[in-house]
Amino acid sequence: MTQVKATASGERKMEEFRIESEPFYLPIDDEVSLFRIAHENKLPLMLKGPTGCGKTRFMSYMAFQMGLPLITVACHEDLTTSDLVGRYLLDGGSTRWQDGPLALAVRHGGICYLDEIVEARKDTTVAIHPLTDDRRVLPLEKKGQIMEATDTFMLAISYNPGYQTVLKDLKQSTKQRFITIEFDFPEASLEVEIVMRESGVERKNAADLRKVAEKFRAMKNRGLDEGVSTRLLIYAGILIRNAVAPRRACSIAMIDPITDDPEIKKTLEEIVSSII
Amino acid sequence: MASRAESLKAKLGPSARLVDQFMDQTAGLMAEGGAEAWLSIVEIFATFDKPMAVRMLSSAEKIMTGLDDPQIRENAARIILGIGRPRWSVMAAAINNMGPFIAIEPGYTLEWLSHGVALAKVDQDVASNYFNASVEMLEHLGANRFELWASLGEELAAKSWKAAKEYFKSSPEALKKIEPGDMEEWARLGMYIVEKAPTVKKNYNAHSMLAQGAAAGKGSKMGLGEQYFQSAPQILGRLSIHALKDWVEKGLEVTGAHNEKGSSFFSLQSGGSRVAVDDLVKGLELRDAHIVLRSYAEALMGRTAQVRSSAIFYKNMPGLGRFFAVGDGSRIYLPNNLGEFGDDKDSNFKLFKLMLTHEMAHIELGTFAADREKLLRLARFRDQALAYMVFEFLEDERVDAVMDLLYPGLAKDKSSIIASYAKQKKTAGDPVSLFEAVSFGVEMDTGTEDPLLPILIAARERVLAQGAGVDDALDEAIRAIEQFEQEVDLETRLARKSADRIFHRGVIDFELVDKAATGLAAVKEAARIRLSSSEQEIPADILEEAFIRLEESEGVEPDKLLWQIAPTGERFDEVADHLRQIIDDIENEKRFRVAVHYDEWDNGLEDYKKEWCRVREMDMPTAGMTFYTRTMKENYGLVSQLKRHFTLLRPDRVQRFFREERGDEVDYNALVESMVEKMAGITPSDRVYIRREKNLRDVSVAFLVDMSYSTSEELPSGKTIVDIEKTGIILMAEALEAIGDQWAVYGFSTNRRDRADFYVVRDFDQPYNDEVKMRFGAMEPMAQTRLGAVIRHANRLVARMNTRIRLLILISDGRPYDVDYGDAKYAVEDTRRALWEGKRKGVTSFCVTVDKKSRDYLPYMYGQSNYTVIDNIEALPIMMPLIYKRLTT
Repeated sequence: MTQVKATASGERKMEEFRIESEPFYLPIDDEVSLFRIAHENKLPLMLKGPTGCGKTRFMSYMAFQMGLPLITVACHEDLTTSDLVGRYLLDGGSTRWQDGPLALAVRHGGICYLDEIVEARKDTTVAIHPLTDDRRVLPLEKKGQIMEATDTFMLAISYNPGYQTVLKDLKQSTKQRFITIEFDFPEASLEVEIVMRESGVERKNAADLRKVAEKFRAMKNRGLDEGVSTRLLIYAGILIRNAVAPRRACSIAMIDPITDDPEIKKTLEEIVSSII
Repeated sequence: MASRAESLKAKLGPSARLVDQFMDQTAGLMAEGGAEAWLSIVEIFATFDKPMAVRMLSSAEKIMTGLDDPQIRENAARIILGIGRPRWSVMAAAINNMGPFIAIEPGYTLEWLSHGVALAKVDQDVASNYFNASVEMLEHLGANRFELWASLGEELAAKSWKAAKEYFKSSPEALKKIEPGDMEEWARLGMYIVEKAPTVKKNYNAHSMLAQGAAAGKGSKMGLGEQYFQSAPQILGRLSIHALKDWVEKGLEVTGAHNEKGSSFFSLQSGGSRVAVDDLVKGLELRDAHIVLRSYAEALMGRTAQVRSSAIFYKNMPGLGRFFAVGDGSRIYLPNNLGEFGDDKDSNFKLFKLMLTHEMAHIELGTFAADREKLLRLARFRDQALAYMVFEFLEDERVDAVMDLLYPGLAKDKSSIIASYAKQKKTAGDPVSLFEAVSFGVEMDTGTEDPLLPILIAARERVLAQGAGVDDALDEAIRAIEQFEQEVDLETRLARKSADRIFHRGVIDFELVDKAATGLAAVKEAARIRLSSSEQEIPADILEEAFIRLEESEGVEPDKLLWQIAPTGERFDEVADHLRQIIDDIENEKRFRVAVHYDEWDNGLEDYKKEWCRVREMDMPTAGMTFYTRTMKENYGLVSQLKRHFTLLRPDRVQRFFREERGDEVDYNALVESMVEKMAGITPSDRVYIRREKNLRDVSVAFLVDMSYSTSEELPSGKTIVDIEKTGIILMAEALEAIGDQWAVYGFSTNRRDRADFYVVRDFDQPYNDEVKMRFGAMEPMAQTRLGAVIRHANRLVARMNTRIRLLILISDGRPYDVDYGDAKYAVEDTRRALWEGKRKGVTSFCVTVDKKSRDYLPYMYGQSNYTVIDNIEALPIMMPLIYKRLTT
């Protein structure tokens, strides 16, 4: 997966954004067909779900399946509209327009995926509004142009409702421009499969990790803000495959990252030591 | 006697017929003298407490028939009369407790009364407390130990009546927590403290009347003994009697150095004394482990779990020892303290966890759904205790086996715990019990083999092999005992040595499970009926929630079981009242955000009182726009002037930085220069961009508004102080919106230490909308001003903001005060401390006050320049923006 550094100079070939080998993804529900429908009908798409449950992986999988380039932008609070749309750069004795990642996708076709959109500043998120209704245009203010999106262009954003605070929530006017696919942690057999595949551990270990995760997830709102993600299970699996003792691997990859509270930590450790 | 009856009738008026009834039916029971004495007592009460007099007449028969001998009846009545009219409260206590007491131990009645009489001579309250505790103590101790308890109390009373009063008062609760055999030691330690307590002289002013005459120069003993007995329920059960001695010695040592500290030591108010208790506790206490254990249980079962101390069953299950666990189908009761592995907290914790998981497994694996009919068959065997134990053993084995499969990690821990337990047992030379032999597959070292052993081994194998349920375990148990009774004669059977439970396994108590379920359902139903009015039914989920909280409020070591409470009577009334309060709280909490505990500084102790105040943070309710719109209208000119003025203070929203290395736009001036430089052969500058940066004033400010009762004072203009405060805040809000600072408004009013209410009118990240504006109207004078606690909470909220300037502005009308907030000095010191804590967190505080007298203490509390006194309170709204401007620019 390639991420765009907006300040980098030089036109990028869209080819760079093509996914070359098939990413591993196990479809859970009808999300694959929904994605296709959204793309065919030019509907903007929002992926909603807890962190580390496979949203980003799903995007690259679909991009590969459909043969589209995928431009992922990891949003952060200093992301400006120029960072998305583009800016003039100096080039020798003159200036040159450099498309931002969003403009690139609009111009050449492909998927532009704004990851963790809530992190971006509010004025930046508004820039995507004209792209997400039937106009499908991107105004390039500095050039005085309005760019129409090609047919294969698709806008997708991801959003983790777990962070919901007053400060970090999407505006209704933004939210209501997307169809939404909800993601959650995969069911046991699938998750075990995923952990085995991604980390290379034995089925027994993967099943244990999943069992631990299930108990951890039951503690959401009972001391944990969010359950442990599939990604962390995979990390734990990788540690185990590299000969770290399973209990220790769970502490490192699944407990310490998600809590700082000593009592919760102790509880989680006790759960691990009961199961493994 | 007849004349006495006549005069009594006259006094009782409408209830006079009860006198006749008494003369007809009851008087004969206690001979002439007794009945006369009884009537004399009734007459005493008839003058000032008619209901008591009526009760005495109507219950006399029931009480007296409890005693066999007319002579004893007569004597009892005479003894009570002998207490004497001035000490009528003691008489009342004796009579009120007489019925229940006689019902348990009629033969001991006279001695019981005589102790009371002796105590009444020392002090009335002592005797009343004695009588009131006596029924419960008799139930708990039995007659022999009761005698000891009472005489110890008398001995103590001779030394200090105050200590004796507390001794009798705390006994019912305290003695449940220790072995009855330790009672004497506990009491004697108290006497020892009474003797050792230093004498302090009263500091009377020289000109005081008290400084002259008989009391002059006389000192009095410090009340350490009474504090010791008062604290007993909190300490006993945690400390062994031996450790208690160490604690007392330590306390006396502290007292020796500093008299006043001794008193807070024995009343457990100082941090030092709590630490001393904690240090002396051996093993691992449930109270320290239960938070982790509970979350662990909840995570494993995926629902709310309640973990409690099993100490409450202790007195009802003699012979079990302290060390047992039991479940009632939803709650799990664990031992108070685990010291199996000495001070090795880790191993003790593992054992706790193992016991808990085992009890949980019983719930999850359906043990309590066993066929009750079939269970009864166990009782039909000749040795029913053994039959039940065999069933218990097989069921435990079944559950443990499933558990091992589900939690292989725990299984590993289990075997290491069992191994070290077995080792300990071997060192101590304790024999291996029958069940241990079967379960762990070890040899019994009794020489002859127990005939039950092979039968059990076979039964166990069948239970484990077939993936059985509880009823299969039950069948196997029945089969095993049948076989055993056929094969073995009675003598051999009785020769069996030890059939103890395996140490980590609790009791399976079906009666408890069933009673808890039906009892609780009855109490809940009764509560529902009691608490619902005709208009309003209590929703089931709220009632459920209230019950959970009621249990939670008892803590890990509850002293009552809800299901045991009969749905009528005094105890139920108490529960119902408590529930009503909780339901009100739940109602209020819809506005609640959090409740936080804060320490409070005690200037006397020079130490914090731990977790002393509870601050309840809640949303301010809304109350219409009237106040807001009226204020805006009345101050129209001022508001627009303020807005203009403050807008000028606002920095440019977006600042452009020229000649930057990077930026969104090209800086053409710089670019041209750079080009020229390049052409001229000089290294050109690469700083040719314009960077735009959002610019904010880096200030956050919280206004903390006093809503205590005193702010309802009316001023000459007809407005109240709180109105003026509100006006000031509204004007400030407008100004702040204009300047763009981050601001919050909080109101507070406290009522004792557990109700420091902290109202959020507007929090930092809230939009300034109509809802907030409507909240201003609801700020009304309420209760007191416990400044320390609310300042601590405000500090915490302001400290979240990561701005450069963090400001807390307190608007108050007087000095800190609350009912239980000590004297003026205490309150001022605590407030000063709270402000100092804020400063350390980077919160600057400033006080605006209208109390002219406050010039005395404000400089001390806030520091020389951190306050201002407004002489004319009506000027507050105009002054505030000026003050604010001065503070932040």
